[in-house]
Amino acid sequence: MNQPDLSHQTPFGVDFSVAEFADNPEPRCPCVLLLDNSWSMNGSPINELNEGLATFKEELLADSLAAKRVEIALVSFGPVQVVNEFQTAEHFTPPHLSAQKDTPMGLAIMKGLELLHQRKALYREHGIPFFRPWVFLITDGTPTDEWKSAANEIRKGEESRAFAFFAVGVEGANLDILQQISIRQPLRLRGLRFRELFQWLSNSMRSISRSVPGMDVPLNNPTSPDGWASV
Amino acid sequence: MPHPPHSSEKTTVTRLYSGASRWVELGKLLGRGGEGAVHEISGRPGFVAKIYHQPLTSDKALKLEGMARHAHPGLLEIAAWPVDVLRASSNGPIQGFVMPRVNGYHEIHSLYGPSHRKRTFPHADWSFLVHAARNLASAFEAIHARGHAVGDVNPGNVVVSAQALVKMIDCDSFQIDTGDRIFLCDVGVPQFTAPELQDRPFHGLRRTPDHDAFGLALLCFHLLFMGRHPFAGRYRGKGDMPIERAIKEYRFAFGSRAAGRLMEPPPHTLPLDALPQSVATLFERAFTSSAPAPRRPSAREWRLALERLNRELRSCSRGTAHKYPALSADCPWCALEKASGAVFFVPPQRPATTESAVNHRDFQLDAIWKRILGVAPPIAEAMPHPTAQAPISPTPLPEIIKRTSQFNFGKTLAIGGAVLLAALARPALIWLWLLLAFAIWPFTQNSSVRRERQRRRLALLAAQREMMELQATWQERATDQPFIRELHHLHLLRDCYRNLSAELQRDLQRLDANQRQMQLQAFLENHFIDTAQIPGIRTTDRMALESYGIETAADVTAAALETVPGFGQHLGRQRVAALLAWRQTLEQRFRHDPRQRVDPAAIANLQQHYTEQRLGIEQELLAAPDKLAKIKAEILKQRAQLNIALIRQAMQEAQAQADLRLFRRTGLVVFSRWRNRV
Repeated sequence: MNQPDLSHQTPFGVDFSVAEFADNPEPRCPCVLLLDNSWSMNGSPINELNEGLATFKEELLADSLAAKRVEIALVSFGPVQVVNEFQTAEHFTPPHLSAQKDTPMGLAIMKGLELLHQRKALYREHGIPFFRPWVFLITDGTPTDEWKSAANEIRKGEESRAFAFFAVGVEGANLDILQQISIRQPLRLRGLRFRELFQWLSNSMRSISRSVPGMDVPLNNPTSPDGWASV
Repeated sequence: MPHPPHSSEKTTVTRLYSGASRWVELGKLLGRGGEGAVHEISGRPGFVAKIYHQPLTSDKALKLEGMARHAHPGLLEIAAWPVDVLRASSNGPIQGFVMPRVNGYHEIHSLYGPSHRKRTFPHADWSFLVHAARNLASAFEAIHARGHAVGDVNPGNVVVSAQALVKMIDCDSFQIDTGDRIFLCDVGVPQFTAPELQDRPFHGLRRTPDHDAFGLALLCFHLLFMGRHPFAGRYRGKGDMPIERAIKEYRFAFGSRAAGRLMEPPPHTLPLDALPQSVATLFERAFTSSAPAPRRPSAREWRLALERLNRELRSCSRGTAHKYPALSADCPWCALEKASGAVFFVPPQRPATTESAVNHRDFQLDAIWKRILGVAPPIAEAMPHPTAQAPISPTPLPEIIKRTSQFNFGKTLAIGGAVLLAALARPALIWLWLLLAFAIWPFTQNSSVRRERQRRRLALLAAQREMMELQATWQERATDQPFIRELHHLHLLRDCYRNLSAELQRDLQRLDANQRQMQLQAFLENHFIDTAQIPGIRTTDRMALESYGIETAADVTAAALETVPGFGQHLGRQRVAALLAWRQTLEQRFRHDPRQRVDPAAIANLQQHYTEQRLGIEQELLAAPDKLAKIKAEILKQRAQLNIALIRQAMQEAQAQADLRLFRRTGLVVFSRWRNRV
C-alpha cells in the first residue's frame, strides 16, 4: 500500500499524438494485424497477403468515417517486427512483406498486445473513446517459440472484453494449437482468399466504426459457402 | 387507367406506382444501404426514390403514408422527407418512397472533425460552425413545431452544405405524429441518447422534444468544440468510462462540476468558459441537470443563443482565420494551436496564384516607386581638410622649465668644455674623456624638461588620432553612402516583389513534383536494412551501417556508403553494389499513388508564406520615401556637425604641434631626442 515515492518515466514534451487527436477526435477502432511472414509463406501466399493488405486500405478509405476511426497496427513475425505502429486507415501505408524466417507467434502476440495496451493508454489520456479492439492473427505454421503465456494473455483479454482475438490459419497451419490460443473458433482460409478476407475485415471494421463503442455488431459470416473461410 | 408494371419480378422493378395515377421510373442507382437502395427518378431531378430490400411491416407502411400526407414545405426544406409512397401496382404493398434529393451535402462529421473540415470545408471558420449549429437547431425547431421528433439523433442522420445549410436524412425513422396516431422511432445510438433513456430498449419508446434536445446539444457541442464529445474526457477514476455510462452519470467532462465527477476535459480543447455565459449555461443545462426543471434548452433556445453568439464574434488580430467570442480577452485558438501544434482552421489564403492577387489592389508599385525616386539624394561632397586659419601661439613653457632648461644647457656646455680641455691636454685619451662625459651627462640633467616634452608629444599624438577618428566618422555618416545603400536595398526589394508570383508558381509546381518523391521517400524509409535479406551483408556490416546512420533503404546512397569503413575496396565494393541493388528493386516495387494529392495545408502554408512576404515588402516600400528623407536629413545634420568638429580638431592638432615645436626652438631638441632614444 504505502509504496515509496518511486520515480516514473515521463514522456518528453509535446508528443505528436496531441495534434493527431486534436485534429481527429473521432472514436477509434483499433485493429492489430499479426501476420506470419515465415519462410513457408514464400511465393504466392505472401504475394496474395500483400495484395490483400492493399485492398484492406482501399476498402477502408472508401468510407470517410471508417477512414478516420479505424486504426491499424501491423506486427509481422518471422522475425517479430513492428511494421506499422497504430495509424488511422487514412495514413496507413500497406507494407510489402517478404517471407523470411521462423514463426515466433507467441512473441508476436505479446508484442501486438503491448502495442494495443500503449495505444489504449494514449486514448484514455486524450479523452478519445474507443471500440473493442480486434487482434487478427494470420499464420500458416506452428509456433516456433513459447506460446502458452500468449494464449493465457488472450484468454484474460477476452474475458475482460479488452479485445477480440481472431485466428486464421492458411494451408499448413496447426489449427490444434490455434484452437488453444484463441477462444474463438479459429478459421481456415480457403485457398489463398486473402483479398476476400481483408474485404471482410474492412467491412467488419467499417460496421464497427459506424456503431457504438461497447456494442456488439452482427458481422457477416465468413464461413458461408461463398465466404473466405471454413471451420 | 395506369399501365401495369412491365414485370412483376422483384429484381427488375423499374416502374412504380406513386399514387394519384402517376408512375415513377427508376433511374441510376445512387447508393445502397442496409435497409434499401436509392435511385434517381427519370424526369424528376430534384427527387430520388428509396426502395426497401425487404417487404415492409404494415406499421412502417402506414407511417410512410402518414409522412407523405404530412409533407410540409417547411419540412421538405430541412429533411429528406417522404413525399410519395411507391408501390408495384396501384393497390400493391408499399415498396419505397419518393423524397427530395439531397445533393452536395456532406455528413456532419466531415464538418466538425478538423482534419476532414480542412479538406471538405476549407473556408469554414468558427463562425461557420456556429452558423451550422444554428441551422441545425432551426431544423429541429421545424420538426418539433409539427409535433414530430427526430428520435434517433446521431451524426449519421445530419448532412451539411457548403453554405452551412443542414438537412436531416433517414427521416423514415423519425417519430411521427399523424394526428390520429403516433409512430415511434425504434432505433437510437446510445452515445447520443439522453441519460434517462440509457439502458432502455429503443423499441416502444415514446420520444419527446426534450429527448431530442439532448442529441441536438451534443451535435452543437461537436460543432463548436472541434468534434469533441462532451462526455469523452479524461476519467480520473479506475477503469474505463464508456460514453454511455458517462452520459448516464452526468459526467460532462467540460462542465464546471466535472472535477467533482472525476472528469477532466481532454488536453488542448476549447474550455467551456471560452464561450459567453449565455451559451455555456445552455450546455451545462443540457448535459448536467438531472432534475426535471429547468429542462434542457429547446431547439428554439439554441437557435436564438447561437444567433446571438455569431453576432458577437471577433476576428483574431494575428491574421489567422480565428474567430472567437468578443468577450474573451485573447484569441483562444491561438493559444490552443500554439500549445497543441494542431491547426484547427485553414489559415486565410487569398488566391495568390494570379498576378492580380500577388499585386495587392491598394498597392501600386509604379506609383510608390516614383515617390521613392522623388526623394533627391544629398549632394555628394568631399570631406573638408580644414587648416588652422588664425595664427597659433604656442603655449609658453613654464618659467621654471625654461630656467631648468637653460641650467641644463649650461651644464652640458660645461661638460663639453671640460672634454675639450681634457682632449687638448691628453689627446691620446680622447675616447676615455668622451666616454666619461657621456656617463656623467645624464646625471647632470633635470628630468622635468623631458617630462614636459613627453606630455606635449602625447597630446599631439592624441590630437592626431582623434582627427583620424573624426574623418572616419565623416566618411561613414556624412557622405551620401547611407542613402545610396538604402536605395540599392529598395531596388532589390522591388525586383524581389516583381518575381514573387513567379516564385510562388515555381514552388507550387515543385510541391506537386515532390509528391512522388515524398511518397517514394516514405516508402523507402519504411524498409529497414536490419530486417531485409540482402546477399553478402552480414550482421557486423549491418552494425557498421547503423553506426553510420544508414538504417533504411532511403539512407542507402553511394556517397553515404563511401564513408562507412569496410565498404571501400574488394568485398566492400560488392556489398555496396548489393545494397544499391536492393534499393533499386525496392524503388521498382514502389507504386506512386496519384490520388494522394498535395496536402492542402502545405499549399496554404506556402501561400501564406508568400502573402506575408508580399505584405512585408509592400509595407517596407510604402515606408521607403519617408525613410529615405529621414536618412537624407540625418546625413546633412551629421555633415554640419562633423564639419565643425573637424575645424575644431584641426585647431587642436595645430596647437599641439606648435606646443611641441617650442622645444625644437630651444636647441636642446637634438640632445633630448638623442636622450630619448637611449
